[in-house]
Amino acid sequence: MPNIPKMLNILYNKVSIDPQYFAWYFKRYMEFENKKLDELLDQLSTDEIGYYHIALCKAPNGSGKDFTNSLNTVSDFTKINIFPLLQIVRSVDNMVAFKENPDAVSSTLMAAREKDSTDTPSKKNNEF
Amino acid sequence: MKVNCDEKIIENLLLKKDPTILAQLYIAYADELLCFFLNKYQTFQNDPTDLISIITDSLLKLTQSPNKFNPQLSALKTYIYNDINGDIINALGKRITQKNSVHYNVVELDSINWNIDLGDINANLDQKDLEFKMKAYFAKVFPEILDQELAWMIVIDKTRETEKFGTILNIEQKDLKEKEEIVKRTKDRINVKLKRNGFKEFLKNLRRNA
Repeated sequence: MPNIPKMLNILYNKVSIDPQYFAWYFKRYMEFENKKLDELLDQLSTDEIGYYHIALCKAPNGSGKDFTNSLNTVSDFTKINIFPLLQIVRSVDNMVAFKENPDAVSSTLMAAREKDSTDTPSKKNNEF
Repeated sequence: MKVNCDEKIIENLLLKKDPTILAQLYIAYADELLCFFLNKYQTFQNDPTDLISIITDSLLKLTQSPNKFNPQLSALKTYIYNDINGDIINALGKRITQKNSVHYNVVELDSINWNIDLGDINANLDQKDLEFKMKAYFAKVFPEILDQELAWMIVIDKTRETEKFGTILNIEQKDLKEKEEIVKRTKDRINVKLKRNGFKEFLKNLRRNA
């Protein structure tokens, strides 16, 4: 593992408390998924310096075209595949939403499950 | 990593609020900034943590409010250097005040008393414009950046504490008496040069045009 320059580490710690940055997402993701840094590096297919550089980038916000453009820009700059980044952002957003309002999320999930179970037979019927 | 070394590209990314800008600024300038300011302010050499914190804060501040940087007034690198330099001077000033060990070791201002009241100019001129004109004037009179900073401290900030000048002049290790003498000589030199280059006239013009 390379030595991380002190300045990079300090900057990383500063932005890791700001949900605008990937650093914040990475820290939350490791915490929620109980993953170590090595595992995250594997998932992102990058080294430690690369990880710190992505961490300084702003994470995409909201949805739609801007979200995709922003994610593409980061992916293009860091040479990291867009999918693991997307997966991390989505998982953390969902987990944070669940933590903040577990009732709303669980009722949405239940409704989705109910819908799924009622949809499935008809879909099957249509297929026949 | 696709790193942009071209300052113009980084400037554009900054103004466009590109999501990668902080990483790009770090990669492009961090090492250079740290080396430069460690050399300039030797007080940070034992423990550069405060200096690093000032540099990182400045980069973050810039990415959060990119519009504070005006590409028409200066290059991005110059802006960053000046911003950090200002923050360092403030931080060192606070350190001195906190320590309170050198209680107002003021070197009395020289025989030339500028008696400058920038109040009326300040009131009528845009702050950035005023700053720009002053900096341009100092740059014209003093080829050395250090002298430009000293002139700024004397005329604009009205700095009087020997310790502050000592830090800029990198003579912190010298004893107080010697420091006072060097600071006094330096101030005299700056003031005389300003006088010979018509600083009073420049201020009058500034007032007239304000």
